[in-house]
Amino acid sequence: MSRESENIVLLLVGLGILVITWSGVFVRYVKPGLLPWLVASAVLLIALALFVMACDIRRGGPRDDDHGHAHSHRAAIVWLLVIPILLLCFVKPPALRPSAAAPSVTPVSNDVLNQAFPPLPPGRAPELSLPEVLMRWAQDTNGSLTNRHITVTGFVLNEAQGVDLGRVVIICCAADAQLARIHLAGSAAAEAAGLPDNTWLRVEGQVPPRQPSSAKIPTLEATTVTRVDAPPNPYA
Amino acid sequence: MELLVGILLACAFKAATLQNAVALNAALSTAGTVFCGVFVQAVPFLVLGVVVSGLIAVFVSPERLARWLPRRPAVAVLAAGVGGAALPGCECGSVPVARRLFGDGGATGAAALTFMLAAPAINPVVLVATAVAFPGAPRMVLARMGASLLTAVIIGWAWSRWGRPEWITRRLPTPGVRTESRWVVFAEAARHDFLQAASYLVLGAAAAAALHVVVPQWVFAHLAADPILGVLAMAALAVVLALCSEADAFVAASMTMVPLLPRLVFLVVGPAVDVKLFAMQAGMFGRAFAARFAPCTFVVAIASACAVGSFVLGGR
Repeated sequence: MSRESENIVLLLVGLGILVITWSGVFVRYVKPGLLPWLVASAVLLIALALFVMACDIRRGGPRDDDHGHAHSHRAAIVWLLVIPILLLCFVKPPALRPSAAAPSVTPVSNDVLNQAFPPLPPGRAPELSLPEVLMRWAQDTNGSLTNRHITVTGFVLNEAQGVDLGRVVIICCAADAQLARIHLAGSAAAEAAGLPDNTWLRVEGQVPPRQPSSAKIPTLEATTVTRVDAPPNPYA
Repeated sequence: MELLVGILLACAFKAATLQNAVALNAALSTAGTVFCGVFVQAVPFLVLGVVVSGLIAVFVSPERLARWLPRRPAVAVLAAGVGGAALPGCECGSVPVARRLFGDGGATGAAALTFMLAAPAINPVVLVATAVAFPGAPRMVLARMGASLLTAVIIGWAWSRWGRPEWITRRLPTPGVRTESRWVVFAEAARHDFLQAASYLVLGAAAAAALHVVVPQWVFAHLAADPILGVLAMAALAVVLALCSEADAFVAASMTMVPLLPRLVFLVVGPAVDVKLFAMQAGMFGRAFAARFAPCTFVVAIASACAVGSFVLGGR
């Protein structure tokens, strides 16, 4: 690849990162918290590419040392960078589906991890993320979920023994995705059971406290089930 | 140039078709998303890395670095290992930095390699992340730091004893005329290092994405219940997953069915050897180097994680 093309590739990598942060597509791949770092790196890459191009133009042509034999080896490999540019700008792979996430349902269940969680936010049925519900259920010594109505958003997972509410959890990027799930039961669970997989729901209900004999996955006694649009951030 | 523009235009016109084709195929869309995840996650760290390596190209000549380091190679390696704590990033950034520090491999070579292995594993950000991920086991932080530092130092000493300069087939471009302004030197170094490291990152991310689809994670989780098989399975998983060293502690913490020692192996092997690092090292140092360096590091990392782990963590 010629030096001019390499500079264009450098510019396009920066632009590609900028495009996915601008359009919000980047939350399919990484945590939303990475936003400022992505913008900063995109700006730096674009500035670097423009600076190098400007230098080359002012010099009236590419640097001499790039015509030497010493650099022939890298001619081909930079072509690989076209792949992420195409993927990020044009293909935009969709958010992970539940089947692709590791089926690790275990909220960390060592007893040493038990701790006192802060009380739930006030209100009739505060909104909690699914992983937080699982963590409070497994580890909270205060029993903050007991006798409280909560609201949880997730998608439908039809299983042999009933219907589950699921959410894909990522810690850093899509490569470490895990599937968190809670069983649905109670008066409104039948409404959810009729829906196809991956339908997004907001479910209100109570989670009975953990007993020593409880299964590894808690159950949400649902009172109301509402269909909602997929949230902007697909992962919890 | 024409070919590049042609490919871009063709894909722009066919964008909708491509999107549908990928979205309809479960394996393809998972691989695509994992690939983008690994790549996008690595870009900020890579940019930080090439900014540092550009600064090194401007301000730190190999002669000056050699003057800063302790005279005795064994002590220099130790100093570089501890110095790794100063670069708060993950492993993608430390490869280009280490390549700049490595120079021609003379006096500073072993120290640069030690720095490359130590920096992603023992910097404060990673240690805090590990402490947060394992709130019930503070010794995990100690064990991770000790085992990673031990790995880095052993590899550095091994390089100064047995390393051969002819394995380094990839050379850095010689800096042009000395009269060039510092900005130009910086930009040229950063440009070269980013293009080189990022291209190989693509190769590594693609390998990680393919393995993610082909080998489901529960295979490793099942193997990991057995103590000896568990250590090997978790070490292999670390190589295959190619996680960022700032995130791997949380993934390890979630594998509650695996005992602590194999999980420590996972945390020590991950930042030192994985598929994307192998690709990047092959690109920055040369294939002959990477083919020897990666297996050695893999074995040393497992051994030191087991030794430090059984000492610090006990039999848990």
